[in-house]
Amino acid sequence: MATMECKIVTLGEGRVGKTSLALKYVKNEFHKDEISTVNANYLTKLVQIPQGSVQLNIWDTAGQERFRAIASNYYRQAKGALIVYDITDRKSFDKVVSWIKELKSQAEKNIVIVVAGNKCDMEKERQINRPEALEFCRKMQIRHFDTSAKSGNGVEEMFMELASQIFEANKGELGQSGRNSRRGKITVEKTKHRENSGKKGGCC
Amino acid sequence: MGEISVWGWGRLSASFASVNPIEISIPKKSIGMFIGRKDSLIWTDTHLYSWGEDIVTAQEHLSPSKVPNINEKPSLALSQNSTITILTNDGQVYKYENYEPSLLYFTEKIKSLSCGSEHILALDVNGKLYSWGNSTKGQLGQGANVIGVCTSPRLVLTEGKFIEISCGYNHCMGLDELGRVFTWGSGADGRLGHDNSQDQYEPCLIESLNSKFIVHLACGYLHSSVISNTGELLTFGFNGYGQLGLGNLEAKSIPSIVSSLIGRRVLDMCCGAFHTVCICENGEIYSMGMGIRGQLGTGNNTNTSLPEKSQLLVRNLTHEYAKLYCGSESTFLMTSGKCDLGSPSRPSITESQDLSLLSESTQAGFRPSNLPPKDPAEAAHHKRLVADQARMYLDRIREREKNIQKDNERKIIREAEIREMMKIWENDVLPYWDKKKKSKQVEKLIRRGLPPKVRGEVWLRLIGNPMGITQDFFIINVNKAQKLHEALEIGDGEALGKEGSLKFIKQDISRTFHQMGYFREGSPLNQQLRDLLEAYTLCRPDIGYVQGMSYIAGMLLLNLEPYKAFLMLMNIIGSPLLIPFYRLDQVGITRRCQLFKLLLRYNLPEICEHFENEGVKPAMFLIEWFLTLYSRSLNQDVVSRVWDLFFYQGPLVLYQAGVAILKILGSGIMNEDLAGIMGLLSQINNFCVNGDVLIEAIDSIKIPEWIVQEVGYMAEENL
Repeated sequence: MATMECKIVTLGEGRVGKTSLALKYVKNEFHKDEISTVNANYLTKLVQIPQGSVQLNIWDTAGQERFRAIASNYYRQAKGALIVYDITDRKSFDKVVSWIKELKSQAEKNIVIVVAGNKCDMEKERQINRPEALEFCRKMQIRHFDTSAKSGNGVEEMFMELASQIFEANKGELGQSGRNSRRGKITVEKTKHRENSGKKGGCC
Repeated sequence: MGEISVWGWGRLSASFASVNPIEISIPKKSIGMFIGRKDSLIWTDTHLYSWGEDIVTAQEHLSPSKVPNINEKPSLALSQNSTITILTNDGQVYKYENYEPSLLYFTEKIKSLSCGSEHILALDVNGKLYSWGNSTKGQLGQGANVIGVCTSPRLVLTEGKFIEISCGYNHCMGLDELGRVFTWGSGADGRLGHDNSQDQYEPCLIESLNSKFIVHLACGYLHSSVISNTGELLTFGFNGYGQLGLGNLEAKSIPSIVSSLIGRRVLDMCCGAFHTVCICENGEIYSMGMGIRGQLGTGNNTNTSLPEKSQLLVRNLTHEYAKLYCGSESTFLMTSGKCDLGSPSRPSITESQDLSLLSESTQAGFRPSNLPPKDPAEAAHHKRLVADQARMYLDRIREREKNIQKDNERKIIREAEIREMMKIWENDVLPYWDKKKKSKQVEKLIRRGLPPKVRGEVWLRLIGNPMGITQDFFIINVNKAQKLHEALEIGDGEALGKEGSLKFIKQDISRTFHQMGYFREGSPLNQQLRDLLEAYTLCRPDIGYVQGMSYIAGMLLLNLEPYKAFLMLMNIIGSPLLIPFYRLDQVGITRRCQLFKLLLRYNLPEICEHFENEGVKPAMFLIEWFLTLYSRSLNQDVVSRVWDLFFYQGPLVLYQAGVAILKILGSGIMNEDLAGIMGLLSQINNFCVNGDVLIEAIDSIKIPEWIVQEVGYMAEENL
């Protein structure tokens, strides 16, 4: 079966939980005081979806506005983007809008975007009206997920959805296998036997 | 009485278990211990020590090390969910979190403590009980109407005058001075001994024990156990592993005598999660229940539902002190007696085992009964595999121990070296600084690493104060920040331009070096760090605050007072080799990353090529390294050494350091793809543990003349 390798990027205001969501998903870890991200972290996970499997290479970017210019380096060529806001912080939701705009104009045309309303374990402090968020995303034709990196709620589903949408959007490219350029995102299933191959042995 | 020794068996640490009793190295004159789920405590009458997972940093201490910031003398302590609770020898109780003790208030002096999974019981000198924590099953004993979390100690209303208490996972037992036993909390499986399985919300007398005089009690996770004055052992509750010692696996809801021990006179007893251990008058130790980690001490890892003799025997016990302590899957004996280590009662499978390698299912000895028997050849093959794994694991353990020992030796040598250097700095160098600062002697001293005591002072002298920043200037800016804060509270931060980055500072403070807890909310350094960064942001609105700066400021504050740290920060960040990173100026960063790449290619062409093939660009890691000057990635000792050299030689050292780190990662990096490389780069602190090695590697990185020229241009053009 084919494995699709794709780059996705996490975007959103500082402290909304981008790193926490990625870590929860990839390593099932949660730290209450996750250290602030400087520039970007890199994580990978192989996701099995009914249609095949997708290797998500996640670039988890820093949230501070100042890093925004650099973030473009990461979302360029990305097949998917996860935009995160904090349901207890109005301003972080406003940022979602500007990120979507930026991606639509600057990123790859068929980039798949999903939005996560994170920290839904803190429902009491909610500042963003849920129907409002859903309506907004519906208009933009973007899937919205309620997530909690703390409890793990919605995290798995969200990444699965992201992976399967990316698969659908890019499956055309799967057929034209050709050479596996490292930077090309599509590769045909190869078994990775690092011990045996020692140095990376090109493609299959 | 002889000297106190401690023996342990079962799961002794997160990654190590032994089916045979092992003598544990402990602080001299230890008087008591507590085995927690992740960390364990041991204390002498003056100090408290812990091993296992550190409650704040989560790093593993392999041997007992002193718990910092405790000035009181401990008489008992326990650890529960990252909090240590300490009972002092004058009856006071402290809650200890994030390395800080805080006093809990009681009307009387406390004499004992016990804890369950989420609750704590305290017993005062008058026999009164107090409880706090989570009461889901009535384990606080405060009646059916107190459900949920109780954050401070509350009196438990009881009729008895208690002398001993014990907590299970979510049930409790109390012993009163008349030898009566009261239980409360979860009653599942009959663990409360009231001939039913109801939860009890208040201490409730076990009537079936009225004919006995009980002298000692202990709770397992889900079972309970008591000793009578005649030395009988009685057990009740969950029995899924045979922990009741009754020869079957049926739960008991009334205390039942462990008949196979009749006549042996049990002196002390303790319960682990699913096992029970007792020591008899003749010095023999008997265990029953779960044995999978070797916690029974019988030399193997099978469960037993009948008391089985452990290998350890205490000689001449009636004249010696002996006390049993259990962790959830371990057993410890603290004794003043001489111990003999008998042979295992049944042949052992392996000497020790790695828990991750040998989970229950892969063990040769464990096979579900509904499966047909294994083919003998296959069984033999499996056994061999298991033995191989065990051997490999033992080798690893030995290797690790050797490394730790080497590390300790190195530390001792290093400490002596630092003391000696300290003298030189204080007597020979600092008083004659102007004359000596350019001398070979100073260069040599700096390369060997500055002693922490003079580090801040020497850094300051190396950097000087070319900008002429005064203390007043600093204070004015701190105050200005205060005022701006109020404005920010109402207005929108972005309207303020880069000064608006002020709002990020607050979020990041407690997240800086969070493992160490120095900068947590409420700690003294928290406010200082905030002041420092805010003042900087206001003085350099062209740069503002960038996430990552908090680490640099934090490092400075750990070595210098705030004003001096401020002065340093202003000067460090101004360097042309660094400033584009703080401005997040793409062009400038690209140019400096290119410079780094050239230096990498010049020194380590094969790594450079490998990075190109795998799509690893220097910007992916260099931005973080430079924005934090490595202080987020390397551990503090090592990064301090890099900084010593940085202040002495200038910012090119930081480029060399980057290449040097890649050199140390060496061949490991060559076998990895992008994901693997990024993974390695995110944990360089595990590879660069020795400052000397890193300094040596930095020195080995050659800087060609044309790079020096390029740096010159950069400084001139300020690009």
